[in-house]
Amino acid sequence: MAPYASDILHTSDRASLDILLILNGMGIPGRIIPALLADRVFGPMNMLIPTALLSGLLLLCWIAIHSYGGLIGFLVVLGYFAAGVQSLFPSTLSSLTTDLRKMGTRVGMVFTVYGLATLTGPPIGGALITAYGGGYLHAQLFAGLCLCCGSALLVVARQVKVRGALVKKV
Amino acid sequence: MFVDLMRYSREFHPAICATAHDTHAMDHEKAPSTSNTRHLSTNTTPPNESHEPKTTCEVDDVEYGSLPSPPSETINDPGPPPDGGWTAWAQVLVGALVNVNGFGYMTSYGLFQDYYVDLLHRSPSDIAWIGSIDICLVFLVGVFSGRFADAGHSRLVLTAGAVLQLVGVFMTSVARTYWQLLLAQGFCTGLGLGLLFCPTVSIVGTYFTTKRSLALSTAAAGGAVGGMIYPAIARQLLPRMGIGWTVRIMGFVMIFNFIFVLALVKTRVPPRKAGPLVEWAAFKELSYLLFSVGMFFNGWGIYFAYYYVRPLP
Repeated sequence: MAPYASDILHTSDRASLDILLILNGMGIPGRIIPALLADRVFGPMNMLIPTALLSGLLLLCWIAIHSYGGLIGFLVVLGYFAAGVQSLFPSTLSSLTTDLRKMGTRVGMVFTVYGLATLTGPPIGGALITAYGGGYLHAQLFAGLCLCCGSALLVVARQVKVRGALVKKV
Repeated sequence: MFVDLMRYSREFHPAICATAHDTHAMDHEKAPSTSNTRHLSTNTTPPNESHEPKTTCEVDDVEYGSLPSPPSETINDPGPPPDGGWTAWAQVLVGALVNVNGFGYMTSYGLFQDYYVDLLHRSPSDIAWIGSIDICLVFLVGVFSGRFADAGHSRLVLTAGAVLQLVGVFMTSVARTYWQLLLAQGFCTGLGLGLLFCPTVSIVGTYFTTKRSLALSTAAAGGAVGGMIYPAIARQLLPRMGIGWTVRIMGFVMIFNFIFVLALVKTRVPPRKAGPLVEWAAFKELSYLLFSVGMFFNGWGIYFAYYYVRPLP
C-alpha cells in the first residue's frame, strides 16, 4: 500500500496539527475547572451560560484575527471555553429536573437533540465555506451566532426555572 | 468528541452521564444501608421526610431486582460508594482511557478533514459528514448503550464497543473512497464509542459521592489528552509513513488503552430497569424546552473550530 499522504503534507499541514493540539490541549483545564467551579460555587447552569456565551463571542472575534500569534491566543481561550460547554451541559439537567426518576430519560432526550445538532453543524459550516469561495466569514458568523443564540435561550430557561431570581445557584 | 463526553456521565462529556448517576449515588449516600429489597419496596414506601425531597425520590429509572437474570457479581448489596480507593480511581482511569480513544480521536477529526478534501476531491461539507456522523452516533447510541449497561450487560457492551471502534479505525486505514470512509470512520467508529462512552461514565459516577465532580472531570479530561495524542502522532508520522500506517498506529494505541479498560472496569451497582425512552411531557416544561433548543444551537456551532481551524495563509 503506497503511503499517499507523504507528498501532500507541507509545513502548513504541520502547523495545522499544532493548532489542533493547542485547541484540544486546552480542553484539559476546560473540562476540569468549570466542572469543579459549577459544583462547588456557582451551579452548572450559572457556569454554562457565560461559558457558552464567551465561546460564541470568541468565535465572532475569530473573524478579526489576522496574525498567527493572535490565532494561537484565540485557540487557547476558545479551547478552554468550548470544552466547558461540552462538559457542563449534562449536569445542568439536574438543575432543571425536579423528578429525578425521569432524569435518565430526559438526559437521553437532550443527548438526541444535541446529537442531531452535532451531526448537521460541521457540514453546514463546510457548505458555508464553499459558498463563500473558501472564505470563513459566513461560517464563523454562523457558529458564533449559534452559540450566542443558544446562550440567550439558556438564560431564558434559567430565568423561567428560578422565576426571575438574578442570584441563585442553579 | 470530547464531548464528551464528551461529560460525561449520562457527559464529554465528561460529566455527561453524571446527572443520572449523581442522583443514583446520592441515593446511596443518604442511605448507606441500602439493599436490593429496600429498593424494591421504595415505590410503596412514603418518602422519608427527613431527607431533602430530591434525594428521596427513587433515582431516575432506577428500579432494582426486576430483571430476569442479573449477573451474580452484582447481585449483592453494593453498600455506599467508596468515594476513593484503588478500584474507584481505576474506574476513573477506565473512563479517561475510553475518552482518550473516543473523544480524543473524534476531536482530532480536523487533521483528517483537510487531508480527505485533497484526497477525495470533495467539498469540505461532504467530508465533514464523516466526522459529524461519528459524533452524532456517540450521543444517539449512548442513549441505548446506557440502558443495556444499566441492565447488567456492561462488559458485553464495552467489549462490543471496543471491537467496533477498532474495526472502524483499522478499516479507515485502508479506506480509499468516500463511502468507505463514511462507513469506517463515521458509522463504525461512532457506534463503537457510543457503546463505550455512557456505560463507563456512569460506572465512574457510581463509585463517588463528594469527589464525583473531580472524578468525572478527570475522566472527561481524557478526551482532551487524546485530542493531543492523535494530532501529535499524525504530526510525527504522517509525513514519513502516510495516512495508512499513521491511522494504524493510532489503532495500536487504542488497543493498548482498551486492554486496560477491559481489564480494570468493574461495575458496582446491581442491574436496574430503565425508564421510558421518551417523555414528551418534558417539552411542555418551558425551561426544559428552552434548554433543549438552546443546547441544539450550542451543538450546532461548537465543533466548527475543531473541524476547520487552520493556520492563516
